[in-house]
Amino acid sequence: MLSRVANALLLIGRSIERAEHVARVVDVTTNLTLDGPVRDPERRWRHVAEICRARADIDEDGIDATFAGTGRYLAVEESNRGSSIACLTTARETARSVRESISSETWEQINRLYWQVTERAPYWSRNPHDFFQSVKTGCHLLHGVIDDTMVHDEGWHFLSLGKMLERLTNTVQLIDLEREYSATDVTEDPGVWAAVLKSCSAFEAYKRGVSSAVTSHDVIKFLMFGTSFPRSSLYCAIQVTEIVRDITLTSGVKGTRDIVLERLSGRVRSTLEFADPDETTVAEGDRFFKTLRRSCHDLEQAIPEAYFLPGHEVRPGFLDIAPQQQQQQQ
Amino acid sequence: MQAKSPFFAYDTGSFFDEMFASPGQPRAHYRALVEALGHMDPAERQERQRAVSQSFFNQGITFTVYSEEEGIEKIFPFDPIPRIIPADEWRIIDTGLQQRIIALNMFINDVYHDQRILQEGIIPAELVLTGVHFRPEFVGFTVPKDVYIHIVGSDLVRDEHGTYYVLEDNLRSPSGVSYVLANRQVMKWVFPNLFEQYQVQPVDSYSSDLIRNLRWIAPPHTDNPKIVLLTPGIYNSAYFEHTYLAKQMGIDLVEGQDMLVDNNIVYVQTTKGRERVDVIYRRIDDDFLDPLAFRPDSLLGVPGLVSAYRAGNVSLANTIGTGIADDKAIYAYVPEMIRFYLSEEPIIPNVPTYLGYRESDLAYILDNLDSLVVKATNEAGGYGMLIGPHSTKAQQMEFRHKVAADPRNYIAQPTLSLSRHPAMDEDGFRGCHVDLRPYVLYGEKVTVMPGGLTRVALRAGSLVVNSSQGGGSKDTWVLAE
Repeated sequence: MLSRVANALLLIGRSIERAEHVARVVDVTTNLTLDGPVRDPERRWRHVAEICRARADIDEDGIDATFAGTGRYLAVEESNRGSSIACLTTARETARSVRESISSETWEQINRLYWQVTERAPYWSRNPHDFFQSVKTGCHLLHGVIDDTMVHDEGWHFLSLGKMLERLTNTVQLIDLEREYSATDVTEDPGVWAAVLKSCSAFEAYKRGVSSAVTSHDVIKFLMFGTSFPRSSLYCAIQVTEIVRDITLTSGVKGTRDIVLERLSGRVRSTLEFADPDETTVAEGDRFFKTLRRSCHDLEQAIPEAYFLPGHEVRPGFLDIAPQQQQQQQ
Repeated sequence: MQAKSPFFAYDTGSFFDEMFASPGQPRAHYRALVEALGHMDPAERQERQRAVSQSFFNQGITFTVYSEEEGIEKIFPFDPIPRIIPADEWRIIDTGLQQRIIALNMFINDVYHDQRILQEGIIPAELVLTGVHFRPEFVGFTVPKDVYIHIVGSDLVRDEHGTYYVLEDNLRSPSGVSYVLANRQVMKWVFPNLFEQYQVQPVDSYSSDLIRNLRWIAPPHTDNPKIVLLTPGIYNSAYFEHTYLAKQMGIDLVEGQDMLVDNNIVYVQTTKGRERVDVIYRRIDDDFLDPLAFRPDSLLGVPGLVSAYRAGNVSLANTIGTGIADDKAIYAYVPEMIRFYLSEEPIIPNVPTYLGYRESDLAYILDNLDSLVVKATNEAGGYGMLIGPHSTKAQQMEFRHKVAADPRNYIAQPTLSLSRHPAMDEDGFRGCHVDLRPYVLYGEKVTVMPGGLTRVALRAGSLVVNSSQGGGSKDTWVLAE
């Protein structure tokens, strides 16, 4: 398929996942900071900003580390490229530029979700949980539509790759940052680690599958290494290696770049598969997570090189040439 | 007690009304529709109209109006009262358009080869050679199957007697067919009851007909040609149509940046590497196709594309250089083309046209700016046009200067009393001027899609149907025999 289109589909997959992730994380934090003043809400909001890659903005632009400040900035601020709403906008605009490569149902659902969320955005704070629910539900619906209405060919693989890659890196980063945050705590706060689970929609699964007691050790283990929980890092890493292999199979060609990708994705997977849980705890996990995050980063960097021509700058749909494009149509 | 017809207050004015032969008397082929509309109360009609808008909105069938920094997405306005054309009327349009398109194709072929029609003095050579879209560098170049105009949209209008005329031909990048297909789909979803009484000819073979024709013109080296649709990109007002057609035909939608030319062969960049391209359905004007051949500042084209085209390694639909034949001054000679190439009389007449190029016509034009419609020969979208009776003295003065400065590039026509059709408004129905754009495909056979886009001037009293200036569209029903 066209390199530009493949890149666009990857971006769409990532944007949707990120929109949902930000919505979930902000939702959980809003909840967490409402009760328990001992939880230092300001520090918590700054922490969330870091999870959502907006820490620098908060610090530099003097945005309040509060629900009304940071919460709003992460939820509905259009100028924040990583906000939930901006991610949906990116997904929609990019989808529009490759509309012929996705099913009509997929386009329609992205379009509807975009309008639903943008129309509600001005009133989001009246019922924030409801707002975030609509983002999450809309994204879930979208995944279902994509899976059920698109042929599972190269295009679908790139959408999935974007989603899984984003989910993988988000989960790893979330846990690592939480470890850092908690490193200075004398005693563990189970409420905070329960919030981590909820940030990954994993609370019930954990309670059912692991134990009723929430400890950082078990939460990390569950979210990093659980193979049957669809949001665990290992699960995502396995998916990524399989998708990379499927893309190679679909194209029928295995070049050096494909081999590089297989190696890098395999490295992430095996780091997780063969990890010693004792080396991943709050206290002991620094080295492990540093290595893991670097491997994830290498993988992310290798993808454009593998699939989209080197030096070929691809910016789907956002080129600066509007005037020429608006030429005569009879 | 019989409920009042929703049309009881409808005013046909002095125009030919598509629906009513006289006030209160629907034409035979509209009777069932009028009755069905009568059974719907106004609230229901409005609600279904809203469902239509919502459907278009959800599907993202919008066009974008660009002004300064922002683009505003608007739904292409749609009026749900269908325009109905009975079979016998359509037969005339069908045969008339086929005749016209064949003659136009022969004209283009002639003008880029022996130029017989110019040698015989039927059309002044100067007029052709000074045509803005004439490509002298392609004289002598032979195109696949000698077909130049694979896709044509000709605009038809009716006068106060109901006579059809061809108003203009669009032979470069005619657009709007996707709205025809989308309109039909939405009508079926939202107003299925209206279809019950009629046998409407389907329009859904368009994309399979088109792809078949595109395959037909492919260079001979392969049995499985790669066909793509070349778009200027998402900022183009017709972008929705580009994606729609590409999807319907199952072909890649590409931008200039996706392609490259090497050794006179066109390739598209894919995740597997390069793939050769054989046929390009291009929705980009000649000028922007190739910075090495035409406008060097074009970012939309592919450097080297024209070389590959000349080498016969890639086919283009429509070919380069067709614009000479939809120059409005050349339009005036289409009846002569039909006589010269086919030895036939035109089945559908032209609108009488005065050419700035002809001295006697020029004097007449300048003296009658307040009663004529004056048009620039090579603009589209309803721009570069003066509608005499609706214009101010200042606008007439402006056009006087323009026409006098460049007479070859202006024509004028009498202001036609265009036919009208009821369209829904807040209270009931209002008569709006309409035209009709059927789409014609030229492949091994010439096929005219039954129906086409009925464009409607929705602004009260307006004669301008173009979407960029407040126009909308209706579904067009051609009835089966």
